[in-house]
Amino acid sequence: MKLTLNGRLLESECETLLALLREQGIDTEQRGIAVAIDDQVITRGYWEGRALADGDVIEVITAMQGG
Amino acid sequence: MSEPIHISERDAAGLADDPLRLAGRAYGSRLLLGTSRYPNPQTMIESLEAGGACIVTVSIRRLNIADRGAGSVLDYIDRTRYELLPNTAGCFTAKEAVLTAQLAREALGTDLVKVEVIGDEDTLLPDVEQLLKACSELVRMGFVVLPYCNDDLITCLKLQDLGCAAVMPLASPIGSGMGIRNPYNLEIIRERITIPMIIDAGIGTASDAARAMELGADGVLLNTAVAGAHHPAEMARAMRLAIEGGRLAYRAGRIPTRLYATASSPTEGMIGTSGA
Repeated sequence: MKLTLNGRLLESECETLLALLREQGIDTEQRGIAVAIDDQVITRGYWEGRALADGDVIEVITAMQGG
Repeated sequence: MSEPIHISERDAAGLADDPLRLAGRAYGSRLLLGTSRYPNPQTMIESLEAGGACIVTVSIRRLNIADRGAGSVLDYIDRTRYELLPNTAGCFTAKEAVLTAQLAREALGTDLVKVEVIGDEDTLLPDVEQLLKACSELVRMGFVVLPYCNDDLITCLKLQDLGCAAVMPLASPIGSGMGIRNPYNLEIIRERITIPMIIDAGIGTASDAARAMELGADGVLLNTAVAGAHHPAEMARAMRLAIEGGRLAYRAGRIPTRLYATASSPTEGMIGTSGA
């Protein structure tokens, strides 16, 4: 299926959000990151249970320098 | 008789008897510092330390997936010493700001949020309509909402009515270093609202911060004035002292200004004068 991850189009067969994050090499244990799909925050505990669908727009964020 | 006031270690530690109170929490420093634009992370850490800040701001951005070696600001900030205040910088709509705040809460485990909804890229002035909308939703969602806003009484009153924990009017545009362009507005806002007023943006140097506090501000949030200084950690210390000085002056109650002189030495008993 086709997904958008942080603004980049990609093709993935991962069935769940957690699997996708791992496939992308993201350390899913690290603190300080959060995920939204189609503008809805998916809390950490639901990453494993969240099935992905074609066209999902996924944002993975962290804290950066800011004023 | 009260103790003489001088900058002792006790005072420098941050007016321990006069904390900044935000949403029922007490903070030992009235200086809130940004974490951006320092020459390097080490200088940032030294500046936060020298400024004595309790609350430091961070932004929320996409994780760099391609470069996993890219460090996060979280690698450098000791969260047992500094409370993080995530901002919604870069958001142009209430919708973006609300989602950013929700992501920040999820990522950082804090309900504090500095709400910034910008209306124009060149001035970075707030979009009041979108700001009010975002703050209304975020208060309803249980956030401790700290809005960056215009130095406008009516906007501040509306933000207070919505349930914001403080208002954060600008002194002048973000990063401009122009200092306080309209002290009268800030003075009126301070008199008319009951929640804390933190001056956010536009501070250029220590005297600006002192002035903000003398006007009655409850705190000052700044970033560029420290990060962009030739010696950031020294400027952070200058800001800390200025804020403490300004706060003490506000509490002490300044004399009214007068157009003509008033002699400070006694006028009686001058030599060469006639009299008993």
